[in-house]
Amino acid sequence: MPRMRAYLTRAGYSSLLSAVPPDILGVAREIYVKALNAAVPLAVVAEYGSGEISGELLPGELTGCSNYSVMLFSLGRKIDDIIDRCFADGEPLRALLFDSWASESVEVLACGVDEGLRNARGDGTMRFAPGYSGFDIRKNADWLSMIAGRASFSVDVAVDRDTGIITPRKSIICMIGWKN
Amino acid sequence: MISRDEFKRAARERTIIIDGAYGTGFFDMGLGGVPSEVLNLEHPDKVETLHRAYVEAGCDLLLTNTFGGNRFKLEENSLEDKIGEIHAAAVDIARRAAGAAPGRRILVFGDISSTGRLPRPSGDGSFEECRRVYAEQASLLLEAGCDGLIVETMTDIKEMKSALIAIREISADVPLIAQMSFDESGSTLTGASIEVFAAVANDLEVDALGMNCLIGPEGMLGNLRRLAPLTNCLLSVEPNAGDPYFDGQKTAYGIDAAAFSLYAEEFVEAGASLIGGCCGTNSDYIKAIAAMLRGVVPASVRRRAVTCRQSLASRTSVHDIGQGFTVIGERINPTGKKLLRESMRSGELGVMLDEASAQAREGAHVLDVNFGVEKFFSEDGIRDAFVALDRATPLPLSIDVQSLDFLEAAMSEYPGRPLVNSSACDERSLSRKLPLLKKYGGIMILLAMESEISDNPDGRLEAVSRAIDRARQFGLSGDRFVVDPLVLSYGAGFDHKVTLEVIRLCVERGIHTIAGLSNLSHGMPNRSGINAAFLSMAIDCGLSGAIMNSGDSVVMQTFFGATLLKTGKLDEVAAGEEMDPLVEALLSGRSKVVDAMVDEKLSAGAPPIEVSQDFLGSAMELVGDLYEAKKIFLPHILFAAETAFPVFDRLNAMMTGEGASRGRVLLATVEGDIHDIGKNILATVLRAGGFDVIDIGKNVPADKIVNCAKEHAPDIVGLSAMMTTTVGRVSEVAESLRDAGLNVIVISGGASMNAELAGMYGVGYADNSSGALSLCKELMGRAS
Repeated sequence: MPRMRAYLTRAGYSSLLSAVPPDILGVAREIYVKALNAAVPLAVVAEYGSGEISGELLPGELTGCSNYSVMLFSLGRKIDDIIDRCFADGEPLRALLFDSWASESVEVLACGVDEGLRNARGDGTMRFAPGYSGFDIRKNADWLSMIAGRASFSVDVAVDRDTGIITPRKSIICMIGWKN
Repeated sequence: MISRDEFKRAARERTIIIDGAYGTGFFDMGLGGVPSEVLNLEHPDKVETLHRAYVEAGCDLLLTNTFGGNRFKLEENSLEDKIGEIHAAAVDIARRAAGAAPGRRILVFGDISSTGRLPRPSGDGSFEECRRVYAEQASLLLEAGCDGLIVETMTDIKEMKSALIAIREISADVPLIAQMSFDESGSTLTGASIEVFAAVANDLEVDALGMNCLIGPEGMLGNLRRLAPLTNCLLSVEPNAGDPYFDGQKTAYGIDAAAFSLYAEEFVEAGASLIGGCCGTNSDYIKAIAAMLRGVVPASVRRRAVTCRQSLASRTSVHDIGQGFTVIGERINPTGKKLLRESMRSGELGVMLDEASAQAREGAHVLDVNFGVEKFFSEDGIRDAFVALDRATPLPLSIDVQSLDFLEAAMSEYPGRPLVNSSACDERSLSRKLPLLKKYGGIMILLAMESEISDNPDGRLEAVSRAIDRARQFGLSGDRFVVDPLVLSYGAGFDHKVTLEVIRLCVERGIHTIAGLSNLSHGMPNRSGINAAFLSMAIDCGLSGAIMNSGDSVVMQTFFGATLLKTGKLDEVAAGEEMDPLVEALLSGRSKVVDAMVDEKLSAGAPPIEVSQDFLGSAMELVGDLYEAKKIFLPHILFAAETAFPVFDRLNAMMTGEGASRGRVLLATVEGDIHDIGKNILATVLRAGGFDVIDIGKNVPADKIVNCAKEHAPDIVGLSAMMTTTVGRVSEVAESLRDAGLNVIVISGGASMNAELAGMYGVGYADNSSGALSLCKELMGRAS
């Protein structure tokens, strides 16, 4: 679960909760609970050996590792639908708050798994996602295929090959390389 | 046991997560029918299971299952012989659960709460009884190996004070948390405000100050923000999971674990170092809080020290010395006043209470209480006087008592933070009085003299400085004192300019001064003029307050004018509100005045029933309105009702046939519920409202209520249920009454009842005694 402070800071409010107008705080809490109930968190970690990923699929920052965790995190499609509906219904504040909550939540989810993996496996690279450091964002599609290929269940996440955009929107595809 | 410093260090390392509710947890395990404390002996495994759930959820501090384990509470179930076993087992169980988390240090705090027999005037218990009962429970918990103690869910400031003093008598070193239950407005049931609580508890060596129960996190957050600037103690909160409601099958609470946890960061931001849950919470709530606070910087690290106000407190209100000029009414002093002397010595305290009311009306902020020649009084007489004043006036008191025994009696009987008038600065005087100040709390007036009065200002100030140094060595900070610069008789040749200079020197050092004004003009003509002139000069020098005659309009007008000219602010005399004379007489317990007013009506030809209902009854309704508006509190309404009873009885005896009573009400607390304070209050209020009340007690089975209803043929049956686990009994009783073919109206109340629930059960509902009185009148009106 994301912290209130982080969620509201992401929405553009003060990092001091006491400085957020009480009415907004009330709405923010209500949306937090609704969003929490609507989210269907998904975390998939696919393991690959050093010989299994190479060339264009591997960013320069991650070369030389002994193995890799390719990961997918998502909150599901319902959150996207709610955000869209809020905008359509003329409730942009609510839409913004849902969006901020979801952005923060999917990051918290990723951080939690990241921390667990590092505790278990020791020294690793930074968590790297396509789109960073000149690595083509459209590689999201290839990494998703790698993840789906190792998953024992169907993954309801898609990537537009032309733009690299992931749907549902509140999803992260990323990779960590392990030194040992 | 850990040290108090270790406890505070732990709060700097992380926000300490306290556990959640136990009562509802036991109920969910099917163990709702027995007192929780018995489970320590009969089902230790179940108690440990609940403790372990909280440990696994991430709690850092477990409370022992001893909430209702004090001797008075155990006596209600004839369990007092097992008090030692119960506490030893409770600590042992909690310790085992705490030890089940390797690598974590889980603290075990002994849980202490109300005795159920509130000390006078809120109840009929005594301060000393409460102190003994708490001392026993605290000793048992500490002997069994608790790390610290928590006194929680307290509603009465005097009972809280008795617990804290008892604990500190046993151990100066045990970490101690003190929590009261405030409503959304920041008041407890018996009227203590957050400010009163802080003023009182700050003096009593408490490590953490806080609040629990009664309201959910939203309301508690506002209350916490009020408390935070008033104390340097750690702050603790344990809200309920919102308001209770009926979900169709069982009582549930309005806020789920996720929503509850959203307040955790705000609590920390507002200063809370300890956070847990109360009614309706379970391990899911604690887990959610722990998750939400992972990595959050603890409040103890971020909080800045506050400068505590020099607040005097009564049971219900505070007055800050140094925030405007303090008028201390001097007239509760029998010297030279025959009527007052006789009244105070005889124990019939009406004249004293009249003086209290009059001075409040005149605009006094504090009342000085002096008994003149004390050898004519007994300790009980001193106690009775302070209890009567506690009931009758909301103003803080200045205890002007010289005998050490009587001073201790007065300080222990006083519920708030008194002004202690006074001590000279010499070692002998201080060694006698500082221990009392440390033990019972308060602000002391230091007379600017040792064995002799210096005739120069520096000499007087040096005496004060030495005294404050001595007090610091004794563990009392400088803000526990104000200074009397010594106003001496002008007629006897003393130089008033020395006094004025002492005031100036004290102001330079940030010390507040309070002077006894009337000494100046002793033996002189035109005393008012002389006193007023000096007061004006003294206010200009920075005098903070004076013990003076608030009825002297010359002096009072001068205080007003001098304060305006000195500060540029209007410090208008806050004269008390004009009150209906009968209401005032009822509230101050002047039964003779009430009798006389009733007799006057009867003599004028009014029939007894009219006097009873339209005169006395209406006045009691006004008392109820004041209670509703939180202008008076529980002890006041009870006192008024006690005053009214005999008069109602007298009027009833004059009436014959119909109309003598508004109706008959049978009252009971339902089976399984041993809470009866609310029901008892209602009985009092209904009787005072002209109803004939049959109170058949607490923990009453449905069949007994039915049988009593058959026997007494009441118009209304009133049922009380405090616990979420017992509200269902209301429905059961209502059904039993219907099944028995009794045509009786059923009404309900209690903390866990609400209108929705009452609607589902097909019974009436009122959320307080005043509302219940109105409801009963309305129902009787409809019935006729």
